[in-house]
Amino acid sequence: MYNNKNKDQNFDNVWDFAKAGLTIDTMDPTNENVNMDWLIQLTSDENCALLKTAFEANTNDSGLSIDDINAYKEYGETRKYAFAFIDRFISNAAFYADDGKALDAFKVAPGHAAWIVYSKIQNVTESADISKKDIVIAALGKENADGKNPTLCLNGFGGFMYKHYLMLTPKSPLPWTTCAFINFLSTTKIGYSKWAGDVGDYPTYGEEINKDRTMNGHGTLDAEYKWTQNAEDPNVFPCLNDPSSNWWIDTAKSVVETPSYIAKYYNTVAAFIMNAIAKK
Amino acid sequence: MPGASVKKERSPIFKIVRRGATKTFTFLGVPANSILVFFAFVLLLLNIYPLFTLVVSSFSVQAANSVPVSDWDVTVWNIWDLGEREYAALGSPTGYYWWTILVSSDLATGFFWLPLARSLLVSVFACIFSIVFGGIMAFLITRSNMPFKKFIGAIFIFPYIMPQWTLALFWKNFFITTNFTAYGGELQALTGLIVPDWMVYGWFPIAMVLGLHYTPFSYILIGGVLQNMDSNLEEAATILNIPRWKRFTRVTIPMLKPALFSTILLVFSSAMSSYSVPTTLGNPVNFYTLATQMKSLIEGSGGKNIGSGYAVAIVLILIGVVMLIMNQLQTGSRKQFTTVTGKSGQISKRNLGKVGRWVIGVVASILVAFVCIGPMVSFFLESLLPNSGDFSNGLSFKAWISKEPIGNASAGYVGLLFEPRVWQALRGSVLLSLACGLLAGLCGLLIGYAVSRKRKSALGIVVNNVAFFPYLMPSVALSLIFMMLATGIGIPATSATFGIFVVMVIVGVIKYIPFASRTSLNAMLQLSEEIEEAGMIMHIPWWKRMTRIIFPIQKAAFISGFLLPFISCMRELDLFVFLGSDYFILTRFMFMLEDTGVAALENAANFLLIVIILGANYLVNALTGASMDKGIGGGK
Repeated sequence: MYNNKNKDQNFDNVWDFAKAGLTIDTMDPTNENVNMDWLIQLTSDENCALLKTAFEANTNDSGLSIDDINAYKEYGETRKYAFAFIDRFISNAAFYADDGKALDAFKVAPGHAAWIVYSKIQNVTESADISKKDIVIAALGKENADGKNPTLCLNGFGGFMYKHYLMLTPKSPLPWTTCAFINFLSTTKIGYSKWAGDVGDYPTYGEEINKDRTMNGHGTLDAEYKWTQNAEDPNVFPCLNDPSSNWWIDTAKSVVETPSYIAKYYNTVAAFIMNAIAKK
Repeated sequence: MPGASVKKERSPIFKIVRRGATKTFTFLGVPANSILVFFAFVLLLLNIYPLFTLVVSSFSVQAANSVPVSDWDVTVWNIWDLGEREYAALGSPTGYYWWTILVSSDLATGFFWLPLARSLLVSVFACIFSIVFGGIMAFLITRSNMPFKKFIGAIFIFPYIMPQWTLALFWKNFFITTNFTAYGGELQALTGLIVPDWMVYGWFPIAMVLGLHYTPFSYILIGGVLQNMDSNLEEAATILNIPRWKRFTRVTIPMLKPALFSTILLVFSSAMSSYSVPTTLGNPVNFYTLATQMKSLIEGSGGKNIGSGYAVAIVLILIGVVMLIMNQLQTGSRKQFTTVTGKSGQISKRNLGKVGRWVIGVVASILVAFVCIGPMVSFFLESLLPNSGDFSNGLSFKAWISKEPIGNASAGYVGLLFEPRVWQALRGSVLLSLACGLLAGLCGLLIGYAVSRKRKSALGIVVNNVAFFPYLMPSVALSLIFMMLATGIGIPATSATFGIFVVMVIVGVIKYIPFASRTSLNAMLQLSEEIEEAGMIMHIPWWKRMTRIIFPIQKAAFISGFLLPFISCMRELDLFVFLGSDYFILTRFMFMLEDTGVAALENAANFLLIVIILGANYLVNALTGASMDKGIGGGK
């Protein structure tokens, strides 16, 4: 995402985020495993192919040449794109201890980009100077009016999808109760309701238990900045009209976490990332 | 002869054993000796065992598939071309972690040498600032006719009471400019002034904030010496026509040397291991210190670099030990000065002039009020704003009294006064702090008594130094060690159980014994031994002498020894960062609130915590006469 207040930026290619001089507010991968996992997952074959295609598209405004990419060719002819992207991302990143701090910095910094959990932007309190209207989700674009029919506005990958796990541990004192509770949380509307209000959160077992957030950004904002959501009202916050998880995966080509891949290649990519951070 | 008894001849070994037993019982019959033996054993165990664990862990493989068997210099192993790499077995000995931070090209520079240089830079300047600012204020309060002394003296302890990261937050909120954000901080908003970027983030603000946090130390230690220093020495130098600068450097400074070195020791080692301040004021501009990189190594990379984190922690401890030895060497050689002319016990006050005293008094009051009260005002103000520094919407008490969820739905926090998790965390903090305060205070009291009575004995010297040792251990490292120990005996480290509470109390007591023992030692050294001796002659048992004679006389100082751990524990985060659940204590809960991105909630919680701590300090002061400054070493 990026902060477009008083700016006319247009990030339509993931490589635009690798442009020198851009600041990306995000969490430190050494502190946040999800970020580390995402960077590692980028090196898989399908994601490398996405990055290659995006690099070769004419929407790429990063200013990087193929020689810059070839500096990483020791990792493979396609994989070099992923390692180049990782290196540039880390170079541009401003690390924070948590998403909240990253959001704090991002929402008051026009021109900055951010790589944080999607739902965090709901914490931005509206005021005369700060508004969610200025936040653009790159994959959805500036106009995004309806999450049921979104237009993909970003070449490359739209985001990163990671899983929350509900685990039954070997020494659980009440295993059947635990199973029942897990079932309740993940398959019923009431059980899932705590997460249903968060944009970017999707149940594993079907969207029918989720809340419809496709028109979340429609409503009215009164003079005191009190927000009332209503799908019939105008589109006030395009960034909040959240498409389905299928769109994010199939159309936006989001990077999807695969634990077995990450476990296998962790050492190599994490070492690369640690080296890149050490050079900051 | 009939009825005569025949004495049985004992073997030589029996005689030796009996003689030894008699000597031992005689030795232990003296309460001070028993206390020293007990605490020597306990403190060595509690200090040496964690340190031993740390050292051993840094030389053994900590995570599976993390330490390569060979080719250590190939830090990025290309698994696609080179195939699977061979790794050393879990728990096997290795020097890999030390090699990583000391020798390996990229990681050593970025994760050790550069952060070490930055930490040293920041710590040195923090010491300089703390001594200069604290020393000047101490001089003005004790040796000048400046007005407003009571006001300044009353609030000067505030920066120490506030958690470090809250001061860092205040600095950022005040100085940040439109070079970094859409609108500037409070200074730019009020005056239009845009300060240079190095004043907002980087080594300078980190050093200033750390120096400010520890300025009360230097103020109290230096002030204590200045208050009791006989001005006759300076007058003698004046009579001998020695220039002012020479009087200052050859008379005043040597008298202040013990206080200066104590301050340097405390400030330097604390600044070196500070985590929260460099995170807030350094990370945004990639200014990483040893403590921030240590935490990254310990927590990051799935535990694969945790051994390197341990190695960095050992380096931090070694630096502290070097400082301690230097301190001992300096204060061990005491020099005295003899005046040529007569002797008096007078303290002369410097006359700042009729107008000068008011000007200096007003400037000093404004400056001190800004740094001591300013943060509280800032937190309260920020808790009323919709976004940090955003005055466009006016003020609102939503973060305090809203009954509807603030922020995103899954977090579900309501206004702080109605948020049950706040009160739950507050209760946890108070219970933990009470337990740590009482236990650490009691142990410190006994140690101080025993060391003062036997300070020339080898055992006394050992206990005195070992009691101070935990202060030098980085809090984060101590928290990690006890997390490992707790998990090892089946207590889940992130639980909210009684078991983890006990572990947290133990960690807190270990960490705060140095404060309590030093306070008690200072108090006991002021007390003449003849007072207790009078009680011994009257056959009054030891426990009665302690409770009916010694404790009542130095009550204020002893209670300060309980108060200091209590307050330190209330505002402590790093020490408990790996222990307990997120809602167990208030500081952990505040850290959780950071993640919401709703700054108003976090600032409201900051304000609440500081008010509670100040309230506790005031209450104890009102009831017993004890206070934090007496605990650190000041006060009458």
